[in-house]
Amino acid sequence: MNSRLIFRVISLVGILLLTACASSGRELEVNAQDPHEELNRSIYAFNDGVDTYVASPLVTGYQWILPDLLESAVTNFFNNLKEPKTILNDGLQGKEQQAGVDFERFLINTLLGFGGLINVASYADIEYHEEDFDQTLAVWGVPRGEYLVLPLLGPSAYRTIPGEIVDAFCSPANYAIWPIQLLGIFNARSNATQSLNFINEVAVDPYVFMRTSYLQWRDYQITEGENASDDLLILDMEEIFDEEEEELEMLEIGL
Amino acid sequence: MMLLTKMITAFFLLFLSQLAAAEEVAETEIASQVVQGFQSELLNVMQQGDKLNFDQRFEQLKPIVIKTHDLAKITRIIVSKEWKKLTKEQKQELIQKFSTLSIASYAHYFKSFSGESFKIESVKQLSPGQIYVHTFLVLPDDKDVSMDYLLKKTGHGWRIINIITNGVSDLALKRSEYVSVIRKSGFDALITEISAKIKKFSQ
Repeated sequence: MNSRLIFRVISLVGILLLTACASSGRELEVNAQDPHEELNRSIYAFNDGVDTYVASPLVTGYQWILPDLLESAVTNFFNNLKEPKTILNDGLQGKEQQAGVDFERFLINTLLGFGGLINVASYADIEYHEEDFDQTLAVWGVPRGEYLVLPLLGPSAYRTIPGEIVDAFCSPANYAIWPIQLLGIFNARSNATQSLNFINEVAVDPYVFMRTSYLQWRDYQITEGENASDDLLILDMEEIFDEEEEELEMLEIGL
Repeated sequence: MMLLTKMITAFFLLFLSQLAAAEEVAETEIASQVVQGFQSELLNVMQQGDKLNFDQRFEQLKPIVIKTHDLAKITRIIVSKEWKKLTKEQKQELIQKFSTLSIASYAHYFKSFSGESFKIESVKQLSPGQIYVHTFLVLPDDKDVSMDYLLKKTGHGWRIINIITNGVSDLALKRSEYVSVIRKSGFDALITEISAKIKKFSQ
């Protein structure tokens, strides 16, 4: 049953890729981080369709059935199950102190928080961290590689793929029975609702918005915020400003 | 005599470096006041919550956003090389639309208050013309949101030209989006998109 489902998904993705390749006549300036933009946009559109017509209605039902309190207990439960992965990657990145804090958090929430349903550690002000194998690879110096949009999984990059596989092996949720896994998927999509709605509200090009914010946010996580005051500045535009200062002075905001 | 000259020179250099350091402190102080002024008005509007409708929030935020942000320069940056291809009228229209959109986004998203506050963590002068103000939006029941401001010195003082939220630069985000829309669909399509956003925010 499972193998048939996987086969169907692969066939569907295959058709989608063929369609994308066949329609690559449109002229697009190649973005250095995203040379596969044409293909990525097609997969993005596919994911968007699946989300609009399948995931979103299901999640609306899930949110309607589950009371808020229970919903946050489910989120706590799955966040707690991410801790072993985080602790392992803390260690691999040489963050011994953080590994200790995360282990303490996991222990407290599992033992005192009924298997992680209650986030007891947050009352003790024990900070929550999230580390994954993609971040570890980055810390080890593996370059990110080109940007990719994966069918059903969304924004990614070459380095993220081995990262996701290792993380999947380290996540206890993936060894649970299928209803728990399904609940995990609903919970993840439900938690993403606000961000997805925000993108739809503010973005003039949602694909580009997703790509730019994803790449910057991952850099921010990897560098622990160090990239914020360096890479994100537009220092190189100083010269352009100077010759245009006068012109900008003349233009009115008009409000 | 030579020793005296050397001493005077050393004293003079020391005095100059102290003066430069003091000036830098004064500049960072002014820049952080700009951010503080903007954030306190934002909180003020949030605290009035349901008492204000969208138009009232828009009108209340308009002067402070115009005073603290360099909206013309931000507009210039976000269309990158496309700027040079625009006519004067198009540039004018884009600045006006983008400025309206910026104020409308603040009026749309900052409309309720549940104990939020801002705290300035650090201020750093990156170059004579740029200052980086690192702040946090403190949420009562959630992790603090890192909200940093890049200010640029203009003829009218220090002005915000970029906001970086949890590592995501608003300027870079808008630049990649706006350039993409202009190149794919043209200037008019961008204006249509921006107008649609403004309308949506105001509803």
